Amino acid sequence: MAAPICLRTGSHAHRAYQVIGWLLLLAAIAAVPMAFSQSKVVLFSQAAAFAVAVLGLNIVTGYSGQVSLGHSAFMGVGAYTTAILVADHDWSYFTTIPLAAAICFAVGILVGIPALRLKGLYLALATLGLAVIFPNLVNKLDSITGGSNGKNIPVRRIRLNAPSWTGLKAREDGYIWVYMVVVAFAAVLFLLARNMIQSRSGRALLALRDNAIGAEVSGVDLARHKVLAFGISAAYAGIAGSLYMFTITNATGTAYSLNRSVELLTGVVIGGLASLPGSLLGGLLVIFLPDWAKNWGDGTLAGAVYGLVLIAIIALYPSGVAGLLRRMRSLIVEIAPKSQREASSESVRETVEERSDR
Amino acid sequence: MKDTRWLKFAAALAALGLLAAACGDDSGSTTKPAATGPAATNPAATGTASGSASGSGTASTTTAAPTGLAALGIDIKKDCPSDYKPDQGVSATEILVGQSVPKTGPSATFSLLTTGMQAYFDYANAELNGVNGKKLKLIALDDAYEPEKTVKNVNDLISQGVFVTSGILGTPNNLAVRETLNLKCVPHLYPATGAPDWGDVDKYPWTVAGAVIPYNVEAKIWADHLKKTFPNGANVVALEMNNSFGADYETWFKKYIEGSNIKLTKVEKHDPATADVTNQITTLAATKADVLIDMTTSSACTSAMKAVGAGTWKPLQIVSGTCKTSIFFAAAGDGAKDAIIVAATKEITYPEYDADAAIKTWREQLAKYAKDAPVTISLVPTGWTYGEILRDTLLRAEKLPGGLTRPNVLVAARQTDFKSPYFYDGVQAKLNGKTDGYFLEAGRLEKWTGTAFVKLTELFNYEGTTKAKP
Repeated sequence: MAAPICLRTGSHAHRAYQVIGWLLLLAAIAAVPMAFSQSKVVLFSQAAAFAVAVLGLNIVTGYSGQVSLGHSAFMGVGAYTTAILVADHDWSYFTTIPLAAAICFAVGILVGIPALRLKGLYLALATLGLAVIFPNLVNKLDSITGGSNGKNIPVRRIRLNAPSWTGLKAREDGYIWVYMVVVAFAAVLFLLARNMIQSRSGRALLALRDNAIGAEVSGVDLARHKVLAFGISAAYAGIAGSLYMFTITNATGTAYSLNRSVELLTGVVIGGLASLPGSLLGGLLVIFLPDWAKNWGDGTLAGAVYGLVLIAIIALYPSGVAGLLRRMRSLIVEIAPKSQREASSESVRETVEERSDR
Repeated sequence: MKDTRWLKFAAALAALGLLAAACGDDSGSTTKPAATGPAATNPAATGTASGSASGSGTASTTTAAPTGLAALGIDIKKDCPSDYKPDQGVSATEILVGQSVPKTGPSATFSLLTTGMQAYFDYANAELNGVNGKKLKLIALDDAYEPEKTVKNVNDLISQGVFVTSGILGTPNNLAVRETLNLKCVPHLYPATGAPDWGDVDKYPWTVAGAVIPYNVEAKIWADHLKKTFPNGANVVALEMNNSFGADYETWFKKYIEGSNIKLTKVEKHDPATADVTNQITTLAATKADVLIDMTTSSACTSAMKAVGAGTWKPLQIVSGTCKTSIFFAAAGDGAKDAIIVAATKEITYPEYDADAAIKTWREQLAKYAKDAPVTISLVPTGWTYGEILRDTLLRAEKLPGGLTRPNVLVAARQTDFKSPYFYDGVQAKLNGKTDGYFLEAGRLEKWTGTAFVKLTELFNYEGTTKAKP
């Protein structure tokens, strides 16, 4: 099927197409606080935080082919780090983020080491353990975590006020400030991930996923890449948990149980495996689909509608919503590789770009 | 060449983190909670704030109502958002009331509270002209008993512009939203939980306790009853839900048995998410204690009684008042027989009330407006009563100068004195400003015969003595 418009990569038209795409995305992000009510803007902030977690899981699941059911725990560690330090130790929200990332990175590495020897379902089971342990650990350490009562950040005492340079009202527009902060963090984390995936390390990961023996023979250090990927993935989930606390003020163990892991995995799969736009879409879908399903009747019916939509997406578009959008785009715009002569010099780079796009 | 990309990437992440840390320090600014002193001495200031914001009234209306507010230590201008709308959610035809309850998950039964409340709203709208012509509209969202979802729901409700929240269910759930509602000066009315926290008027003036016997009152009734029944002392063991709801019972019970020969010798905790507590009961059975207290709720009560029924250990069983619903007991079979429970409200479907005119009328109303609801389950009449109490408060608020505004509702709610045929004689649904923040500070003990609850003791009455902290 031939698309009406054909763009060659590297051509001016293609550049323009890309720039327009980015500008549209930026405009959409900027329009959210103006176009939506406060509760919806909060949902968008949460979606941005979840997109980071989905991206983190995608690094492990999509790009390196390992299934993890333990990312709820990493997200929970991040969330509790922020909640406890802000609520009980008067830390600023922002200073908790690097700590959450560091703790989760370390835990991720520790989990990543045994993960080397486990594959597929076995790894899923091992990480499942993490998801099950975390809520119990929270209950056990109730003097620090508040037990199953949860940890509540006293918003009356500690508020995320908008600084004056934003031109926002400090208290009333605090939610817009939170939105800006979370989205900015998410954007930077997405850029970092994009660069990483297009780097040698990213290629090494993909090679390991597709043919581990072949990759090792070619000199890729399997152990190091897999463990580091797990660590970074966990750090992403931790930062996501921390950012999520900017928006929700309450952490409970049950919120970071197996359900959340499944939620993240759902985000990865329906968004699009091994896809950056897919991760973003995954975050949006995980937050907005259940919210939308509520319109169909609160309670059990909403759950059923949510489930049906998920099944429909996967049945119709196994490559997720990102795949669907790509197909829709291909009806209008076709992106063709450069002409043979130019392409040969950069062929390696190109393959990777295509891959990461998928 | 060595592959250092990963290290670089990690370094970039770390740098980002440091940057965040450096630029973020100014944003964790702190503000003090509601001041008490100055506001109380300056009723005029608060008066103007409330009066002008609600956009109504003469000079006289702006001073009188906020006196009550100032007495609660609230200064609208200082403590509430600058875009605060005191009459948000009230239109010429409608009053929006928000609620969050578990409609799905293991605690879904509790949504019968909503059913009862909705039935009363329907009745009031159809036969009592709503609240002086304004219809009561309930928006009840599902949180599956998960506090995080309660937070989302409350954000949603505020966004939808509800006037007040009423009957949000669950202790952790209400704890999770209490701060936000107090920050936004939205009346957090009548949480459907008996945690002593809800009467903390000084710290959380916008949170008004609901019509559930406070758990510390219940613990005192248990302690006093045991001291009387076991003059030579007794060993007590407890099954406790592992959250602040369970912990409240334990803390207060321990306080009330202090210095007596009633001893709490063992406590087994269970996770709130698990309904099967057979293992915990087996462990407790090994103690052969005289008394078992189920400091838990919903299906865990049933599971505990069932497990006792299956064993040879026959302690005196005391069950949390939150389980006083015939289905929880009937489902436990023989194990529930002779178990005792604190009660402040009548089982209105029992034949002993056939002659009671007020209850007879109520039954007819329920039959009409809660047709498909299981009215034998006390959650339904309780929900109905929650609706009645709210309407009573709204009616009184409307009479205050300034009319139906959030601050007036709060002042009115803090002066509730509600009479209902639902409560036993002597049980009061009464609040009094800062001095009494609790409803139902009295109850009698009842025994489950296998088919019904029957009276075991006279009323224990501790009206006006309840405190938030031991």
